Amino acid sequence: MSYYRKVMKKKNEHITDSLLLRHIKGETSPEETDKILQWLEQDNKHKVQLTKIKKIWNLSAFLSEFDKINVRHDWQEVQGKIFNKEKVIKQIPFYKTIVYRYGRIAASILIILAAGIYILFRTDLHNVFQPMLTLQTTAEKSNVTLYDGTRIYLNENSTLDYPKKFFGGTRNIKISGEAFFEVAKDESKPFYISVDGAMIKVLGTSFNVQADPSENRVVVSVLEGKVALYPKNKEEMSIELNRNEEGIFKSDSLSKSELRDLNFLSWKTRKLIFDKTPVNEVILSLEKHYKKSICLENAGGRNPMVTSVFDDQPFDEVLDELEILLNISYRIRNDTVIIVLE
Amino acid sequence: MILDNKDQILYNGIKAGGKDTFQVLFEEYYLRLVIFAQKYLIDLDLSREIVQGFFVNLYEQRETITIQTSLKSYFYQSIRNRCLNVIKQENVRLAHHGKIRKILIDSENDWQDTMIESELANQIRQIVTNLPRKCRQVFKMSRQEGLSNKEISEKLNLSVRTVETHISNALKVLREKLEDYI
Repeated sequence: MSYYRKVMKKKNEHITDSLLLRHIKGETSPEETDKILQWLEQDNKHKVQLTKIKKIWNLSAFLSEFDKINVRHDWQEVQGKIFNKEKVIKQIPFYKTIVYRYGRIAASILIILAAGIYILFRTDLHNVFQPMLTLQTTAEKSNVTLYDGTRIYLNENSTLDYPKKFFGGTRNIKISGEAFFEVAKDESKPFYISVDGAMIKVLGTSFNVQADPSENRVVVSVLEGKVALYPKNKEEMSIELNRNEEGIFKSDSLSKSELRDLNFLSWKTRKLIFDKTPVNEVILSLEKHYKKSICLENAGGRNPMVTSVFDDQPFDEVLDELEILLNISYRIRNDTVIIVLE
Repeated sequence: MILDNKDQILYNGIKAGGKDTFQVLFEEYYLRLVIFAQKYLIDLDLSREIVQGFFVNLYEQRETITIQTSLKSYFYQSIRNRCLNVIKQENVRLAHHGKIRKILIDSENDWQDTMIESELANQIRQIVTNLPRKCRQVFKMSRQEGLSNKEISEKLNLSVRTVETHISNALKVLREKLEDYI
């Protein structure tokens, strides 16, 4: 038996993929063709192997088609059509109608007038001069330093639109999702953040903005300095938020409270700090930070306090530590962690 | 909606109109969609134009579109519809000149097959791109330029045996990586 296998193996050694390919291309000698035909008869697997190579060979014909297409070049074209469209639409009518009829001078006066009117009626006027840059995060956090020195840390699944340079008397940017700001101080140029339906006006400070479109809510937590929060286009409704205060904008109404949760910045610092924090609040912070669903079973009705610091620790470790600290047990069912207070 | 995680992120990105998302999608899908369109339209430049138009439209309509299938199916289906429209219009034009060509409408199964074929061709492209340089060069000369092993060996100053080994290696990698698809 083993001898037979050896012979078989030796025979098959001559049937390489390369030989099969030459067969497909019709380049084999009559002896080679005979050998291949014999080999095909031996085993159905051999036929399958040949079919597969044939299929790969046929589909590889597209390689030369792919080579004719320049993805980068075509993206430049599409990108131009998509992201510079606004500009193009605004320029063409001027060029075609006025420049043609009244000549250059009249046209330039009109363009200046038009630009003036346009600027008057548009608040985010930096758009007129240049396209916005976009920083978008999905699974990874990111950060950027703007032209004026302002630093912005962007949490996961968030978007920031900002100009390369700030023109005019204001600094305007737009975000969605969650971000932490360290706004460079420049009182002559207020910093405006447009987020969902809300506006935030800043003079120079650091604070966190969390927008939750599903709940139509924006939360602004101020760490330092002073900011103003108001619904878009309604600055008269503005509320002022100072150090350690939190403003909530929800469905067009505003409220303000003391900053209670010390961990609103944990996504940036990766640190969770609990100082005599009731266990139910600890669980809320953990849920948010680790993006887990946690359920508390509390038969005894007690609500013990937690004092601890978790510094970028894996979730499992945190649970183990809580188990020791609080005399709890936990189990994981589906995606939910169930914590049982003994 | 049957969107997996990656699709969901991209879908959100489309809705948000983020430039990065559109660039990622373009780089990921452009080649295969052009190859797919080319099966309907034959002409490469026309196919490029159709696919580019689709991406511009995707951006413009991003707020109103709803995608019920995977992004991939949605993209292919949209391109197919655009191609069929082009063919219909072309036929109207031809009919004016007294020439009538049969309208090509492929069945549901046929177009799924065409999609699978484009996907496979794209996978082959990706695998070949990642082959070692010499191996890739030999395989491409063999396939694209239709050269025999002997001709390749002379051009590259290699032995015929080495050329055969390169081709065998290329086929081996392709067969292994495409195991589940062909």
